[in-house]
Amino acid sequence: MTDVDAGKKVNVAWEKARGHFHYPALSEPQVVKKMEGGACFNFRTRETLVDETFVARVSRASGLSVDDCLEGIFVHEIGHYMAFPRNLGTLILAGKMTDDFFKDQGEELVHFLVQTYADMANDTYSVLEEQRRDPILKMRNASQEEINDKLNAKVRAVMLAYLHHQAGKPYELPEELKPYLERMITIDFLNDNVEKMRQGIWAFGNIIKDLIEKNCGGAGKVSLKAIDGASDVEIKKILENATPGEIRKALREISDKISRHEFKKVEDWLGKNGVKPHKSSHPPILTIGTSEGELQVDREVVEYYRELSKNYPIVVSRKLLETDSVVHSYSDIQKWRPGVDPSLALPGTSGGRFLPGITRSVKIRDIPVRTTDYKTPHLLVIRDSSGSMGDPKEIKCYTTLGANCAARSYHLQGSFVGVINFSGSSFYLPYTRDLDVALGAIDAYQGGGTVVDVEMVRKMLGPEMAELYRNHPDRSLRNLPKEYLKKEISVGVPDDVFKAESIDVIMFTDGGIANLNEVLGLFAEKAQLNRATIVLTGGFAQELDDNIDPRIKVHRIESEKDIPKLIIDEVRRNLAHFVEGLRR
Amino acid sequence: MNVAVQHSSSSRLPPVLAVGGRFGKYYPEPERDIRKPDVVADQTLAALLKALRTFLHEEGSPYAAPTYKRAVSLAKKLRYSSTDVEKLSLAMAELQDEKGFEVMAGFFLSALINKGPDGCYVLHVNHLKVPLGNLCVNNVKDVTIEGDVGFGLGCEMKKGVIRVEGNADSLTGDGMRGGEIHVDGTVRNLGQDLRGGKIYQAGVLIYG
Repeated sequence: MTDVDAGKKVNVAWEKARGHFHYPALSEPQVVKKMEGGACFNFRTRETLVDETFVARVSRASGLSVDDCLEGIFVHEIGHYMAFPRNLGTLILAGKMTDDFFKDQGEELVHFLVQTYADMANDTYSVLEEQRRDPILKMRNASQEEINDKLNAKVRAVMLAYLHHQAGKPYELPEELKPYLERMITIDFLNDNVEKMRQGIWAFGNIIKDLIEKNCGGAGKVSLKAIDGASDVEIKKILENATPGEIRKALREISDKISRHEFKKVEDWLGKNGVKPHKSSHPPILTIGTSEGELQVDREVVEYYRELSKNYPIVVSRKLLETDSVVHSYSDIQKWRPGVDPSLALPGTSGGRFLPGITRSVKIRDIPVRTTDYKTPHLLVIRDSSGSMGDPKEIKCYTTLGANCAARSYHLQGSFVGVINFSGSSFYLPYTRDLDVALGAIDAYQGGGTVVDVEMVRKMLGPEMAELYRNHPDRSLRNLPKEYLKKEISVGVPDDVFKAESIDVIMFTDGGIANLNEVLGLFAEKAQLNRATIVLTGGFAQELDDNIDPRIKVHRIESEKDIPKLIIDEVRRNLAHFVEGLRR
Repeated sequence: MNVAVQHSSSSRLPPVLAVGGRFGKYYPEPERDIRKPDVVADQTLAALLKALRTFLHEEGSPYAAPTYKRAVSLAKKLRYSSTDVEKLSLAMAELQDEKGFEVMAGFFLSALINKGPDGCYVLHVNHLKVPLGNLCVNNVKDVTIEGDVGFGLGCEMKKGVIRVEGNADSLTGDGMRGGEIHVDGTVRNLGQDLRGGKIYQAGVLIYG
C-alpha cells in the first residue's frame, strides 16, 4: 500500500470516528512509524498519534481490517477528549487518588491503573452508543488476540466482558473470572462526581490487584500493559510536558470539586512528581497592619480563593446612574487655517477657494452635560470574619468564596471595590481597583466576636468616606503610611465613587451579630439606594429570618452549589424588572 | 432570494413555488440506540449508608458513652465485612455536609469496627472536608487510617493497634487502657486519664 493510500485510509477512518462524536474540533491525526504504546491523544495539541506498526500487528494477529482497526483506535482516542479524562484536572485527580490507594503496590501498577481506568471509562461511554459500539468492540477483541501474556489476557477478558455487558452483547467469560466481572459492574465509570470516581478507582484497583495476586502472586512480578497495549494516558509524561499555566488551569478545574484540605494534598503530590504549580513572585504572607496588631493573610489563600472564584461568575445588573458626558456643538465658526480639518471648512465663505485666514470653518465645542446611563455600581463588601465563620485557610469557606466571586465580578466590570472586614473590631479598605488588595482584605481572618461598626458602613456608603479615610487611617486595611492616604483619595478615586447611589453593598455573614437590629435597620434603609444584600451562610440564619425586613434581599449559601443560585436570583430579579418595564 | 419558479403547463394556473425541492438533499438523522450504563448498587454499602444517615439524624444524648451505645445497637443489626467498612469510609463523603457529621460519624465507624467480624480494618479519610473526630472509640481491632484524624482518636481504647498515616488532633488516646496508637505525622496533644497502652508519634514513643 502506498503512502497516499495509507493517508486516505487514515483520513476516512478519522472522519468516520469524528462523526461518531458529532465532529469535535480536533487536529488531524499523525501516523508515526514507531511509537511506544500504540496510539495516544495529546491533550496539549489535541492531536492523535497512531503507530503504523501497531495497527499492522493487531490487524495481522486478529484478521481485523486496517480500516476497522484505525476506526476503533480513533474512536478510543477521541473518547479520551470527549468522555474521560476530558481535561488535565480530572487526570491529575485520578492519578492522585490511584497513588493514594495503591502506592504500596508499586509505580507500575499505579500507572497501569490510571491508564486502564481511563480506558474503561472512555470505552464504557462509547459502547453505550450504537455508532461507536462496533468499532470499539472490534478493536478490543482484536487486541485481545494479539497479547499472549496469561495475566494480561485475564485482566483484559474481564474488561472485555464488562464492555460487552454494557453493550448488551454476549461474551464468554471463564467461570473463575465471573466474580471479578460482578464486582466491576458495581463501578459507575461514567459518573463525573469526584467521590464516585474515587470509589470507582478504589474498587477497580482492588479488582485488578486481586486478579494479579491470584494469578501471579503480586504486582511486582508482572509486566502490565494497558488494555489496548498502548500508553495513551501516561500521567507522568503529561505532567512533565505541561506548562505552569496548564497546571494552574487544571488546578482551577478541580478546586471546586474537592475540599481545601485535599487541594493542598494534590499540590503536594504534584510537587513530588516534579511539577511546580505557578506561584506568585510576591512574598507568601501578606501583612495588613491595623491599630490592633497585624492581620496576616496567606498569599496562597488569596490565590486559592481567587482561582476558585473564577468558577462562579456573578451577574451584576447595571443601574441607572448619573454620568458625565459631552455634546458636540457646531454653534460657531472660526477662521480656517492650514492644519485644521478641511472637511470642516466652509469654502463658500471665500468664493469657493481655500484661503487661510479668510475662509471660515465650523468650530466644534464640547459642552459638558449631566445625563443618566446604565452603569455598574461600585461594591462595598462587608465581610464577617468572626470565629464562627471558620478560618478560610483551613476550610473551604463559602462566605469568603462568595465575597471573592462578588468582588471579582464587579472588578471585571470596571468598578471599584471597598471592603469592611468585621469581627470584634471593624476595618475598612478604601475603594480600590487593585483586586489583589481587595481580595486580601476579604480573606483576612480575625476570628473574634461579631460586631458591625454601623457608623463605618454608613460612612463608606456616602461622601463621608473621605472623612473616614482622613480621621481613621488606623482602621484602614491598606498598608500605606498615613501621609499618602489623602493623596490617594484625591488622585486615585474618581468623583462618582463618592456618590451614595453608585455603591452596591453586600454583607457576607453567618448571623449571630451582637448589634443585629442596628445592622438590619441600616440595611432596610439602604435597601433601595444601595441594593443592600445579605448573603447568609448557615449558623444563625433563623435568628435573621425572624427579624428581617422584607425590603432586604437575602441569599443563602450553604454549599458551593448555592453560589450559582445567587446568579439566578439576580437574573430573575432583573428579568422581572424588564418585564415590568415592558408592561408599562 | 434564490427561489426556483416552476410554471404550470396551463397558463391559467398561477406559478408554483418549487422552494420545497431545495430541501430534497436533506434526510432524517438515523436513529441510534443509546443504552444506559448498568451499574449494580452495592446493597451492603447502601444499608451502611442508610444506617449512618439514621444515626446522624436521630436525636440522642450529647455524651460520648450513650452515643457510642446507640451506634453499637445500629451496627449489631447490620451484616458487613471489613471491605464494606472501607467502602463506607470512602462513600460517606456524601453525608459530610450533614449536621454533626465530623463528631458523630467517628462513633459509627468505631462501632462497626468493634462489632465487625474481621480483625483488620482500613479507613480512608483523606478526602473529607474536616478530619473525623472520635475515631476508634473503645477500639479492640487493628485499624489503619489513611489521612488526618480529628480529636479523640482511640478514646477509651482497650486493645489492638491503630495506625494513622497522617496527623492526629487533640485528646488522642483519651482514657486509653491498652493497645497501641501509631501516628505517622504529629499528635496535637494527648488526652487525659490514660491508664495503659502506648502511643507513638513518627515512630517515637510519646506515651507508655
